[in-house]
Amino acid sequence: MIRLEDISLTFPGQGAQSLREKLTSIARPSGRIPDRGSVTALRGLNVEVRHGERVGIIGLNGAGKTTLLKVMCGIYPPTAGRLTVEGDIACLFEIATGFEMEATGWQNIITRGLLVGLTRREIRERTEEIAGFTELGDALDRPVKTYSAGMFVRLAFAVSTSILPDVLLLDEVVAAGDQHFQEKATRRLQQMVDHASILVLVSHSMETILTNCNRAIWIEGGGVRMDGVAADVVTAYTAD
Amino acid sequence: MATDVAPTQRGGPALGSRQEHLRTLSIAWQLARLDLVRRYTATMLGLAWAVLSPLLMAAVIGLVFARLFGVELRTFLPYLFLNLTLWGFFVACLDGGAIAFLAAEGYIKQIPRVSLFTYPLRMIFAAFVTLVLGLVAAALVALAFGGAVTLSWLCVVPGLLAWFLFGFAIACVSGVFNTAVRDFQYIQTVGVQALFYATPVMFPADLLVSRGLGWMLTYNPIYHLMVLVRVPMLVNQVPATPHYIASAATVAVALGAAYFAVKRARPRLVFWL
Repeated sequence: MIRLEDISLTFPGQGAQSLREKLTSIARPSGRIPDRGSVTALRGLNVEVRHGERVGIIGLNGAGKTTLLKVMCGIYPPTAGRLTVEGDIACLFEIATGFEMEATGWQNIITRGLLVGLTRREIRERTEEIAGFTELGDALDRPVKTYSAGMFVRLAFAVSTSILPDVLLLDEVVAAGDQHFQEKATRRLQQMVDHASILVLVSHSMETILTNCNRAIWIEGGGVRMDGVAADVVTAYTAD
Repeated sequence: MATDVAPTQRGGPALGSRQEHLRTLSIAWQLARLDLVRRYTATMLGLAWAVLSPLLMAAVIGLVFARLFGVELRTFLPYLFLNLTLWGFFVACLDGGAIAFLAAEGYIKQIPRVSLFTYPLRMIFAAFVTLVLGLVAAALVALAFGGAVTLSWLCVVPGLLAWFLFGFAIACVSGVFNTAVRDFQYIQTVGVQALFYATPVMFPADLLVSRGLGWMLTYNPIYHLMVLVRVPMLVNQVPATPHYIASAATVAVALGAAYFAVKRARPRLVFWL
């Protein structure tokens, strides 16, 4: 279960990061640091996702879809409001970041495995399978700084999808790479999706939403514009 | 496909549980190991540098300063080597801590439910391994110059524990401050440099006392922590109780500050990256 109560999120912006800013702000009558570049991404959101629901999040670029996903999984602490999540949660987005560049592919499998919640024993048991899925072969012996973008995605994807969480949060186009890997990745992702009791999926593809989701939430300007049966929301959204 | 996954039913243990703490240690250790391997396989002499670098420093400085202070090289060189090793750990904790969260940006922004303490801990583990290696070398140097192993050496263990906790705490504080305000690292470097000259690292502690500057030792927490390791190894005595009290207080205050800093930073840190 995921419950968001009056969730708001304002990004603090970059204005207050240098000491110069802090010092000059003392001289200012108000004593406040100028709030340059702060952005309100979510405004008083109330959403509850229950067991068994498959929720698609749709909306224009910058509407707050990905931010919402990051709040749900606990990466962005909300500025106000309450978040409750029951069950093990995993999220897949921006997976091609977060590597130890000097370390080999094998070492990165272990590192990422630990980070996503596997134990060392579990990692040992499935290293072979993960390595096989990446199809990186001997490249796994090399430092990952020698990898191409596609290779990073393969590695990160293979590890991150080797767990089965109760709650799965997905940002669209997690998988990249060539056609062959895409198909494999989609199949593997489907396993995760099928097992999860809750799926929240951000996508620009209405087809993807309609295939995978029974409920859709249309986000606009950081708030909910429409929430309901996937087909209805998609119809309204496309007509808009 | 035949190679399909047999995944666990888990996304990570609950926050604050014992399992969570073990996980934090496990991840930090894994990352630290990679740091150590990288550091020591990038050079031809590898691990030997952990020992060689303070040893060479001590040799060079020792030759000059032993004359300057009119002390015997036989006692001064082990003293200097041990001090430089401990000071090296102190600096490694502050510098490593300063970049702890910045270097982990890819993880913090992507993978949920990983304790923020993981990343300073990673830096401390790596620095601590280097410290232990340095101390082994320091022990050998001490023995080579006529020192002896006695039961007092057992006191090094609680001393090292204090150093570890202190190092972890200052890495957390340094990490939070430097992530919030990037200028912090520069201020910190200057501060550390000043502290270096005020602390008996390169000169005998007695020198300050004889000049009526004993208070500079009394109020220097690093000095007391250094005594905890140095006295058992080089003087073969159990450190005096006041040093333990001062060190315990320092560690407690530092850990409190670290806890407070990370707790305050937790709702914001991800936005500072």
